[in-house]
Parts: sequence; structure tokens; C-alpha cells
Amino acid sequence: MSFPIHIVDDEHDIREAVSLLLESMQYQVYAHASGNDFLNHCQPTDLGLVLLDIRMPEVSGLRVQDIMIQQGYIQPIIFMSGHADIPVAVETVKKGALDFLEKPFKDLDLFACIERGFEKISSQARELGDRAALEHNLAKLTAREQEVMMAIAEGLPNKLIARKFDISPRTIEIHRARVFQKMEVENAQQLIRALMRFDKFTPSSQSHL
Amino acid sequence: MNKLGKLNAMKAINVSDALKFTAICASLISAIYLGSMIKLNGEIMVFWPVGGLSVYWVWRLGIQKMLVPLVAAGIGSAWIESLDTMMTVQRILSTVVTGWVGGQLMTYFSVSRGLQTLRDIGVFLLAATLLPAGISSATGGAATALLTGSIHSGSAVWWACWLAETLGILLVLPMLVHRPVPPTWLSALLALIIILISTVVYLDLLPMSISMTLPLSFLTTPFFLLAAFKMHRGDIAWLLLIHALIAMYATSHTMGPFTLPSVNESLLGVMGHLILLSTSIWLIKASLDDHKMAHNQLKMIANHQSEILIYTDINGRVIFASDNSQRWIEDIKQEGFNLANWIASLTGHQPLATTDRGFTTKVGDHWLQWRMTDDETKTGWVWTAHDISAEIAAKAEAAQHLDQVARLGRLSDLAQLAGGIAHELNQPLTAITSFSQALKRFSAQSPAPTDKIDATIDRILQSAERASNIVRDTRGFLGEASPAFEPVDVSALIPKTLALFDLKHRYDQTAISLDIARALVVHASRSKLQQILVNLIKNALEAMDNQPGSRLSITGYRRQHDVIIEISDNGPGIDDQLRKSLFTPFSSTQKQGIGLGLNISMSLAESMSGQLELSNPRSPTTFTVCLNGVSQ
Repeated sequence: MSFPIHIVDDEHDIREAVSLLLESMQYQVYAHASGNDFLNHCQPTDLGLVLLDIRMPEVSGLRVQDIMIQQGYIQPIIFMSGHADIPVAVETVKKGALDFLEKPFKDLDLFACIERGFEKISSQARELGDRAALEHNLAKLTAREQEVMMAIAEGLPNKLIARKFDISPRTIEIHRARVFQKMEVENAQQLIRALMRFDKFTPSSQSHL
Repeated sequence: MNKLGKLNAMKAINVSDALKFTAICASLISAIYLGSMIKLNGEIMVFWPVGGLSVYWVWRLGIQKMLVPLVAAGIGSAWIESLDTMMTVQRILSTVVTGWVGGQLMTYFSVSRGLQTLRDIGVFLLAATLLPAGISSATGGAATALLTGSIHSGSAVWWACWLAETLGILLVLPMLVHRPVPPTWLSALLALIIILISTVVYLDLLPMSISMTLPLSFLTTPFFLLAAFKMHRGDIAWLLLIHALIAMYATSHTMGPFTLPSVNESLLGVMGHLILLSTSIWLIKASLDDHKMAHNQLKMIANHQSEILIYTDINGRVIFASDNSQRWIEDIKQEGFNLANWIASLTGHQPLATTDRGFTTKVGDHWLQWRMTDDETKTGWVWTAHDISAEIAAKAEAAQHLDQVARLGRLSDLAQLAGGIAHELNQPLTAITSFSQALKRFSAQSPAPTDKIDATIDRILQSAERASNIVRDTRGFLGEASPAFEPVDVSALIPKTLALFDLKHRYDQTAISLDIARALVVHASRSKLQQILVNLIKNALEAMDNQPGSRLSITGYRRQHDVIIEISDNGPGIDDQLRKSLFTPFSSTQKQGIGLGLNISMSLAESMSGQLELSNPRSPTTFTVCLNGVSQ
């Protein structure tokens, strides 16, 4: 599975060289001469990988990382650094960058990094799909059904739910069946897991809806 | 010394004094006797040599010592001549008065013992000859003659006595002062000619027709003048005496050009002539000697100073060379040595053909600094030179020290710039690595994409060249192979120098503005100039500290023969206190560096005959470098 790779480096030669190398491996490559160039070109939710130079005039690589975190970019970042910048590079990893490569780097190290990045993107993509499905299912519920779902997640028996909303237990039975059907789950445990995965529900706390 | 020794010494002194006393008395008596012998008609003295003797002895020994001998001589001579009492008193009086007045005046005016300078001769003629002769003849000789009643004209007698006394001093005293020296062939010849001419002229050996019509008395004058130039004083004194004796003998026997109807008048005439001749000769001799002495003094000064001093004619032929010049120029004292040609053979430039009046020559291991001036009369050249080897060596040593310190400064600068340079160098290396890896993959493909492979190889070569340029520029900055002076293009050097700074990354908030005239070439050392630029740019950048809005401006332009480079920053400026110590060593305000930057830079600028100054301490803080431009 392959994703677009964005190279951000102010050095023309390096952009060219790394692009050429990646293209020789049939990767899809976009080169950007500055951080702003990249940020303008790429949306936070676009899938892809960023090869980011640390030292760049005006907007440095670190600044680009900060902006990406701020604006919720999901692309994994692989930093490219000179020897002198290794301590800085370590900091970037602590802040969530995938890894860093010291210039000049071996092609196999680069490819290994990229593959790891792609795996991360894949899992991100899966997660995104699942989240989209959940949101889609949640959207199908009526207001009452949502209330009932949260009560079920809280682990309340039908009787108590019926008393809470002042309706008959029989009606609650019907709502529960509808919720399970619409949320595509078979029982309360599956429902709770699905909700917790995307922070829609936290045990013994209030609903996030 | 024991008592006996002392006694012997005293005895010896006494014996010697007694001998001296006797000798002086004897000489005085003989002189008086001689004077008495040369009397005209046995009545009037014409030559009174004791006057010269008495003045001389009183001048040399003092009147205290001479009073007794003078009186004794008077008495002695009177006894020999069997004079009566009155005449004896007169004789004693005239002898003592002449010696006393003349000798004391010689001492009073501190006439030098050599009787050499014009002043000495002047005093001798006026104070020691004419004056005492006058007084003495008035008191002694004239009175004697009047008392004996032999001459009735008092004034004529007084004149005769005065002239005789004067002649006596004038002819005798110089003979006593100057000892004769062995004659050269020229002086012997001159003496012979003069004696011959005087004999011929005064003894009337020529036909009457010639001797009566021509002023033959002056025939000896040119030879005496020549003698004054060429003969020693002692010889001249003897010659004058011999000539005078011949003239007086002849004239008193009615022979020679001075013969008049009256013998008295003839004698007065010849005596006047002789006095004037002697006076003239001694005055000329003294003037010549004064001149010679001044010349010798100059020569001595020339020879005793450390500078080489040479005087040549207008064509450079040596006329005079101080002794020390022979140390440098072996043949300088050879006849006809041409200094200008000698210098031309060393420097390749004929000094007389240029308007340049200062130059240096290398003689052996030494450097001579020459200066030439034409003398006021435009008839020759004065050349001076001194050894400047020590100065040159000191300068070379100072330059070497500066080079060493500057090199240390460059190493220190380079250490600070190393991060930026490493980064710069890493870029092409990274590109090369990646290009090579791509190339490897392309060549593994089947079929191989030859166009891509070729393009990639080109890119690798380009990057490699870029890397080697960075290395070369860095080495250039270290200046290992940089010549002392070469034409350096400032418009190319400034961007190269800026590239040493990691401007893009470390100073990304700093705007750089360059306004440098095209083809701005200076006569300088590339590495030295670059070191100055690195220092000034570094200072400017550090002063602004990459604050937003920072601006580094570098301006380069030509001003007449100079090239001006201005480096300014809009940092906080330099306060007065810092300004005072700005160019002194170890006054750094920066965290890095040892505070030698500006000090070294200034020395470097000066070593290239340039200048470095702080032209504006406020914002924009501006340093100005001024160097010699190379005309296009």
C-alpha cells in the first residue's frame, strides 16, 4: 500500500535527489521548497507522509511540526537533520514525529522509515474508516434512542432505564433492539467497546455526545 | 721617588732654566747686534729683528719671566756697542716696551699658538706688530736718533724706526712660530724662482731699458701668492725674510726698482713694500687656512657620522666620499668612480634619469636607503644613505607576527563558522548520496533508463563541484596559499564571504542588502581582506542578534584611487565607553571570541596600506574599510 510522500527542503539539490531516489522506487512524490508551500498544498486530513528538513529559512521544520499539531494534521513526519541538529531531532520525536534521518542517509534506512510511515497511515486510514462508520451509525439514531444507548452503556437494566425516562419497559426493549441494529452490534459489550474506541463514551462519566 | 731623586730633578730644572735664560739672552743680543749692523750710513736702523724675538718670548713665557732677559739684553748690547748711559736706557726701554706691549696683547686676545686663523693674524698684525712698533719707536728709537742729532727731520726718523721695528716683528715672529718643513719639489722650485727674481730685479741685473720702465718690484708677487697656496708657513716665513734682506740690501746700495734720489726715501719705500707684501701673504694664508679648516671640519663631520655622505658632480662622478662609504662601496675612492652608474647597476634605474630622489639598494645582506639632493649651485649632487636593514628586518618580523596572529584569528573565526560550513558542505554530500543511490537503482532496472542515468550522473558531478568549492573557499579563507598582494575582486569576494555564514538558517530574520559596484578590484591579500570582512560581518550579525527587522548592509564603491567598503547594521550601536576600547585587544563583549577581531582587522588593513575605522557609532553602525584600488 502506497501513499503520497511530501519532501520539504529549501535545498534544491536535496529535493531533486531525494525525489529522484523515491521515484526510482515508484513512490508518488511531491517536493516543496518551504514549510508554507507544503502547508498550503496539503490539508490536515490528507493521507500521506512528510519528509521534513529541520533547518529552513523563515519557517523552520520545527515550526512546521508545531503548526501541523495545532491544526490537526495527521501525516506522519520523518525529519531530516544535520549532525549538529540531532538533539533537536530527538525532541521532535518526543513531540510525535515518526523518526529522524541524519543527512546524508542510506536509502534503505529511508525506505524502512517510509514503510513504517505507511503502516501508520494504513492504521490511521482504518481507524478513520471505523470512526466514519460509527459516526454514520450514530447519526441514524433518534434522540430517544441515543439517550437509551448511553443508559445501556452505563450498564443500567431495562427496568431502571424505563423508570429514568418514565416510559414502559416494553418500549425500552424496542429501543434497545433498534440501537443494537442501527449501531451494528450484537450486545451491550460490543456497543461499549465501539463507543469507547472513538471517545464517545467514558465509563462512570458523562456522555460525550 | 726618594729625596736624592727629587734633588736631582730640581737641579735638572735649574740647569735647564739657566741654559734657556742664557740662550734667550744670547739670541736677543745677537738680534740687536744684527739690527745695529744693518744701519743706513751707520745711523738709521732699517730692520730691527729683536722686536720679533721679544714679542715672541713675552707671548710664550710671560713678561715676569722675560723682564730680566730683556733688560739684560739691552744692557749687554749697549755694553758691546759702548753706548753712553742715556742711549743704554733708551735701548733697554725700547726693547722691553716692544716685547711687553706686543706679547701681552697676543696673550690678551688669546691668539692660538699656531698663529693660524684669520683672527690670529689680524691680532698679530695690528696689536702685536704695528702698535708696539709705533710705541717703541716713539719712546726708544726715535728719541735715540733725535738725541744724537744725526737726523733733523723727526717725523721721517719716527717713520723709519716704526717701519724697521714692524718689519722686524713681521718677518721674525712667524719664523719662530712655524718650523720649516722639508720642501716638496714645488715649494723648492717656487723658493728658487722667488730668490732668483728678487736677485735679478733688486740687483739690477737686467738692462736699464727694461728695469727702468717696467714695475718689476711686483714680479715676485704672483709667485708669493702661489707660495701662499702651496707652501708651508715656515717656508713662507723664511722666503719672505730672504726676499726682504735682498731687497733692503740692494735698495740701501742704490740698486733695484725702489731707488730714489734720497737713500732714506728709497728705504722707506722698500720697507713699506715689504710690510705690505708680508701682510698680504699672511692674510691670504690665514684665509686659505680658515677655509681649509672649515673644509676639514666638514670632512671630519662627514667621516664621523654613521650616514654615508657623498658629493658628486652633475654627472654622478664622485668628488668627495665620506670614509664610511668605502665600507659599502669598495671602489668609491677610485679616481672617476661614477656613483649614479653604480646605483643603476644595482637597481636597474639610472637615478639621474628619474625625478625620484629616494631609493633603496641592496649591498650584500644590507639595505641602504638613499636620498639625493642637488646642491644650491646646481653643479653637483649630495647623496646620503643609511643602513635600514634593521628597520626592514623589524618590519618583516612585525609582518610575520601579524601573519601568525591573523592566522590564529582566522582559525578562531573558522571554529565559530564551522557549524555553518559543515551544514553547507553536508547539503551537496546528501544530494550526492541520494543521487548515487537512485543511480544504482536505475542501473539495476531492465531496460536501463539511460537518459535518467546520464542526467543523474550530471547532477552528482554538479553537487560534487559545489562541495569542492565550499572546501576551496574555506581553505582560501585560511589563506594557506594566498599571495601577499594580488588583485582581489571585492564584488566576488563579499558574496563568498557571506556564504561562510549560515545566514539562511541562523540569521533568517536578518535582511541582507548588497550594493557593490561591479568589478571592484583592490590591491590586497585575499585572505587578509576576507578575514577583515568576516570579522566585520560577524560583529554586525551578532550585534543585531537576528531580531526581527535586522538589516545588514554592505556597500562597495570607488573613490578616486581607493575602494571603500562599508558594512553597517541596525543593531543597538556602540556606546562611547565601548568605542574607546573598540580597537584594543582582548576587549570583546561577545560570548565567543577573544576580542582580537577588530584589532587584528585594523592591523591587517594597515599592512595593506589601507584603513579601518568606525565611521558611525550610532544606528546604522558602520565600519568603513579603505583599500588601494586597482585601476581598470
